[in-house]
Amino acid sequence: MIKRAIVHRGSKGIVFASKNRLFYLTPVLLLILGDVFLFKVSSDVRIFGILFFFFYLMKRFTLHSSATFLFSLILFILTYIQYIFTDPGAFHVPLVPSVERTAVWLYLFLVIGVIQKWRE
Amino acid sequence: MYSNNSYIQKEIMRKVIVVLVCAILFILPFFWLAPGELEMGGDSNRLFLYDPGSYLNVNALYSIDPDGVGKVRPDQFLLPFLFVLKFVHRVFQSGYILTSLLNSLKLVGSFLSMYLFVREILKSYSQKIAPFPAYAAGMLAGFFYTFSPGVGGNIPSALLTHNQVFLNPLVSYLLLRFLLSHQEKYLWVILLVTFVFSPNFSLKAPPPLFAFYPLVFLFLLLYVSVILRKSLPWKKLFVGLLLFIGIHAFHIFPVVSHIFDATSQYYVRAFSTAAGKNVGLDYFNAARGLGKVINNIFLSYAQNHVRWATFVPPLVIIIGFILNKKKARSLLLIVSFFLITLFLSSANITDIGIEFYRMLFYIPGFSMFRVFYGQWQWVHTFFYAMLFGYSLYVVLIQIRRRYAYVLIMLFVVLHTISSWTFVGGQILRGVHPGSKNMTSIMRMNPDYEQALAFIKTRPDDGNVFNFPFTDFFYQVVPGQNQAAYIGLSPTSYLTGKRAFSGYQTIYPFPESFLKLIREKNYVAIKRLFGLLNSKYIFYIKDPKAFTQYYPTWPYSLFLSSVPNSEALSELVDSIRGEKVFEKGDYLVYETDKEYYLPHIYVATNMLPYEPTGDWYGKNASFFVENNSPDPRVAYVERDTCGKVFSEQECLQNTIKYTGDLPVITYKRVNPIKYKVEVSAVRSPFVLVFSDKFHSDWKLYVSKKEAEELNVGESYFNGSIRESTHEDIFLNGQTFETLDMQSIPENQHFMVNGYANAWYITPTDSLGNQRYEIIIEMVQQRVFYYSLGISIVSLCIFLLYGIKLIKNRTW
Repeated sequence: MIKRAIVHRGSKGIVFASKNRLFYLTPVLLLILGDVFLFKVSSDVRIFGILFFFFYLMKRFTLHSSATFLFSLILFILTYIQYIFTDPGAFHVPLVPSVERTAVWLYLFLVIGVIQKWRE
Repeated sequence: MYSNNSYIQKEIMRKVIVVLVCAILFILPFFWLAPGELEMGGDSNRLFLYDPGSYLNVNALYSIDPDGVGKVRPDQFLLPFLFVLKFVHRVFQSGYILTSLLNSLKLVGSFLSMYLFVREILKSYSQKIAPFPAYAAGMLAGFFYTFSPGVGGNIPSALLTHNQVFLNPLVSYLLLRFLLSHQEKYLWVILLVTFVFSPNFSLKAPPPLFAFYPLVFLFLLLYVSVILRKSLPWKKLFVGLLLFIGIHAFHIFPVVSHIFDATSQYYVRAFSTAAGKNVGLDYFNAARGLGKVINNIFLSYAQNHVRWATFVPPLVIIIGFILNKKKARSLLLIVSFFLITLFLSSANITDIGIEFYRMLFYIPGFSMFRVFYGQWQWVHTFFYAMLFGYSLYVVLIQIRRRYAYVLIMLFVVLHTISSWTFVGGQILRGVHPGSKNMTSIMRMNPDYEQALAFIKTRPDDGNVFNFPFTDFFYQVVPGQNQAAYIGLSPTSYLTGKRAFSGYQTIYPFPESFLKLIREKNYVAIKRLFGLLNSKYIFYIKDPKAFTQYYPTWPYSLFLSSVPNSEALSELVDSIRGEKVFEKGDYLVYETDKEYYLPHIYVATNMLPYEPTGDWYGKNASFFVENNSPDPRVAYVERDTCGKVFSEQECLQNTIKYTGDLPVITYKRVNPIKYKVEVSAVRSPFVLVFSDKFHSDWKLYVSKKEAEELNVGESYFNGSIRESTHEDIFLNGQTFETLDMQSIPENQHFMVNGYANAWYITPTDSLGNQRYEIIIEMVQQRVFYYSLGISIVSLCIFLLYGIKLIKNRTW
């Protein structure tokens, strides 16, 4: 009985994931959040590592530019929330607030989306 | 029939609304200032808004800086712009109206050009354009651009090139229309606009020009040829380019000749790898942290409590991409340029991106973009507004009309809130940093105006030393109200008298000067004033000009020697001569006559000195220990001395010229030409000319009989006399030195740490005892020739315009 319920729930999850393919990008979002909030210094190794993982998921699940732009929208909302809650003085000094790193992620995903759109 | 009429009515209504918005924008700047108020300060100042005529005569006609020791620099690019301002000023007789009109032009020009540009670009989205969304997108893009920080943030202390805020979209729109229609009238108008606003198209201030036009031109070429697949009018473009060079020759060629002068700072910046690294890359590395992606996404004024209202444009752009199902290639092209400019203006995008940016500084000339977050902001804002307009159109055509209205209203309200500091004009009323509530919007003090008029009418050729003395090249001029002008010295730029106002204007002496004040060595200060040909001291006693209102900035260096107003009064009293003018808090003194050296003098002594030894590394304090009773000394570096005089002479501590000194009478024809009547010449002598040393200052011995000059001021028992000075820009004698041979350059050398001197022997004058010398800055000739080319080109250009009208191609 319990086994059947687990299988049923598992299959429902797979159906949900296949219908909402953007769901597969959740790990990427988590990785980006980790990069922004857990590290104080930006690193190209992390950035391009996450981006290659993103490319892999895009290829694997044949996601289009609209998915990338949707992902950008999520990043934009995150950036905006951070922006209004960050001390404004931080934007005019050489220090790098975490919102700046989110904004860089937003920029990178916009670039990827535009390149995808050119190719589609 | 009904629907057709309704469409026409709606179109008329839309045009009426555009006109109404333009009218509001036109009126708005008149509320920023009250009648009689002026805002003119900053690094490049806007004194031309107060007195464009004097500014034109003093600053724009000659290749000599009217400030400090008179370095060579070609600033003729101001001419057409100042002529127009002079005309408008003559009509309205008001600096306030002139300032407001210029600001109105910026607002209306920005809005209208951006609106038209976006509407034109939207035509490529589909074959049939939805009228209302296209109209709304154009309006809002124009509104967004006009009140963005890129336009309004720099309006206080605006640089000369600030007109770019409306010129950039205007020229881009006209160029787009030309590339699409191939109609020459657009090209003609572009050329006219560039001519009138030539400061924005000058090589003298290249960053605004090269940060914007190459990128936008590339964008337009790709848009027309790749996206629209239309042919490009290459031949007409080439003709346009030739005409552009022709009508702008008067400022392009002098700057180009200046760039290839190995002693100029332009040459160093453009061609020196070491300087490129120092001025460019090192500066970039130091300032890199100030570039932020976030600041270029949420365009916000420095007002913290309303920055939340800046989210609509980036949100609309992203939603536009999500909603856009078709492959709009023009949208992709716009966003590509938007992302490129975002990268250029923020710089800090991944370590690889930063390294790439650093490599760009090895391109000759790229160091001009070292203040990258400022230099690229205008082109970024331009593409941002374009992208916003395009995305908004994509969104508006896909949502219901009532939601469209909500979105439009939301944006208008939020953008007005976020830019209210600019819309309401408060941005102009900012307090000077570190001051006690002093702003830059001032009312001219009539007492100060009288002091300026007094200085302007002095008949002699003496310089002016301004007190209080600032850290940079500024002068602080308090107004009648709680405000002050802080910028380039009005004494220099409006009276035609060269003035010393700050630390940077008295190179190589600033550190020596401050040290001498601390040591209270007033005799040496008087000697320094003599070397600088300072005949007057202009002392602004108003407490609003000094420490009571400006406790630190812009006096932090001066305060180390003169800590307060009392100390300043003591200093002035210790070094001044006779008082010649007093009105309120404005005093003009003569300097001590015993130490004064006229602009041109014959040296009685040459004092060789070692080139190193103090802070400047040039022994700038060589004059301090001299106890000679006669101030007519020429101090020469021992190395330089050896090039002109014998080694034996240079090893002495003093080379004396006694007994047979000639008598000279000199006249200033204009700031780049002087005539000197020399008589009683019996032996070689050294003639000193106290302008900054430059190899293009040439001395000619005229073969004609010396002109009999009338005598005004007289010094040293009549051995040096000043005649009545003139200010002749062009006459029959302007080119009289063309067929003359100048004194060989090995007889031309630097004295007094900065000035020109010539060693003149009887051979140079063919043994004559009385003759005429002409001292001329020959770089000015390039301007005269270029001006000729410009006048001819302008005639061709005007005839071309008449032809276009006659052929009804207008």
